[in-house]
Amino acid sequence: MEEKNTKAKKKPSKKNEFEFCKVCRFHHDHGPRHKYFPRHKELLSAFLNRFRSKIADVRFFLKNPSFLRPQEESQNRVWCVFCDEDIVELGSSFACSKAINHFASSEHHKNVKQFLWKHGPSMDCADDFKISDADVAKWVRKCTALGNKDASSCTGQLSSDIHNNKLEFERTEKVQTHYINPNDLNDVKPLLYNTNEYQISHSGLPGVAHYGSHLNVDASHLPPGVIGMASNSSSLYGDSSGNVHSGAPPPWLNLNQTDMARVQEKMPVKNSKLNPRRVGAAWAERRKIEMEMEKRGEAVNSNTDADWLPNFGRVWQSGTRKDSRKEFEKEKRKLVVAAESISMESQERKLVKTESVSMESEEPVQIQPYVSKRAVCFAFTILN
Amino acid sequence: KKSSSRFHSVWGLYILKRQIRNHREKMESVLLPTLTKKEEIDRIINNTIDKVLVLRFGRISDENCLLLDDILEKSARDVSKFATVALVDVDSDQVQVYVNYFDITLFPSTVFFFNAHHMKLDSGTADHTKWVGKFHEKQDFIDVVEVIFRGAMKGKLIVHCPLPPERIPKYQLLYKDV
Repeated sequence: MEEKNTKAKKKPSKKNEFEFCKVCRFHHDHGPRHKYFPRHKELLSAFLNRFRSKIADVRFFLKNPSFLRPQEESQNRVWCVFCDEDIVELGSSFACSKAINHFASSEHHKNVKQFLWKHGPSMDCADDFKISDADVAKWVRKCTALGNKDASSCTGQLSSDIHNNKLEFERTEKVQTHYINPNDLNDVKPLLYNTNEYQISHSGLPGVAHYGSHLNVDASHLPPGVIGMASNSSSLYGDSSGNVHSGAPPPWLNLNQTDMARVQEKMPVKNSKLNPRRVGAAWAERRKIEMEMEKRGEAVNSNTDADWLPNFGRVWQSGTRKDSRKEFEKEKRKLVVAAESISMESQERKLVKTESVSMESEEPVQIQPYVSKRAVCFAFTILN
Repeated sequence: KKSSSRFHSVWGLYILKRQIRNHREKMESVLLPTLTKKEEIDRIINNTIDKVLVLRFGRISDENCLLLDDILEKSARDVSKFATVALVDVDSDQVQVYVNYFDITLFPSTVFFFNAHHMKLDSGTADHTKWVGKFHEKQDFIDVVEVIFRGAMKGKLIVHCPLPPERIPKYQLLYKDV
């Protein structure tokens, strides 16, 4: 035993080079072991959750494609953690189109795999960060449909035509100048194109409404820009049924209500669990389901016919309970047969027949009667 | 005045006794169903889920059976959370199938089921498949049912009787009239 201990101590620790862990944001020399450390695992899950929420925003636009107005492009940026690149929506007509295409690309998939291989103990969550080609195809179809629909109608500054984008851009410049006034108080003038430095910590993808307010805050850090964009934040989202100025309720309130409802539905009411190994557990579960169905009026099973017998272990039997049931049914059949034959003849013969039948049923059964020792002694004393 | 007060007290007592009797009758009739047909027995076996089913086979003309019924009725409510009690009239024709199947030769006999499975009780007698005779007191019956319930919940098909041998009715079991 002691030798083993000393041997273990003598084993030299592996000398690993210092590497930087992107997730934990520090340098370590643990080497490949590092990804199994609990702290790293926690940080990784937080890290992935953050990116997951961003992907969720992109997915929102995957399901509800909406037009991307040029002035909102800067807000529609994503930093892809796996590929270490910034995805900027330049000249795309639909919200998050570049992001969607990026997440569906094979390069991105490869990078996701590599990242999880390096940092994550498990590779299950890889699919969360990918968008399948089927989804992209659906999205494209929806976009074209949307484009065709809205080609004529103009709710504000909408345009699906890339050629006209520039014109729109110029037009909105002039329009936007009106809106600067209320925001001048806060000295807010966000940039159209932000530099990477400012976007690293806030790679904001305003798929969700409350990001609008965040962007306002971010904008204050930015150097004075070209156009005041804050006012348009509310109209970014699909159904622009009013904004702060018109006094409409903020979209995130509605969203939260539906979320809460969904969460409450998902919470299962867990009853106390009965021992699954109790007697007749399987039968009980089946019967409960049947009774529920009967309550709902769906299935009316005529499961108990006249010949159903419960599981019973008889007194004088050797073998399983099924055997006892079979034996009983055999006896019953014999009695029935005997009864039928008897009914054909007269009563006197009946009596004779029953005796003979009962004798016949006894003969094949070679069972010794159980007589206890006490009974034997008792009988003996009585006889004496 | 004295006589009137005595009259009132007697009258009050009479009213009280009548109330108790009515209440008991009501209790008795509501709690313990008497079954006379095979379908009824099948139904109650199939509908009692995760509870012990106590089936008393006997005839009310029998004194022992009446004593047993009294105990069953009084304790039925106490065990109602984990047991259902029912009485089977053994003189009915349709029930004879079960009388034969369960090998009931002595009355009253009590058979225990759990989730449509028959529960055996080893009480030191020759027949483990049923309880023959009456119970000494309510608590004995409740103890037996509790032991059966606990065993069934653990997955046992046969349990040991918790009663001391002096409180277990003794009987002779005959095999094919031997």
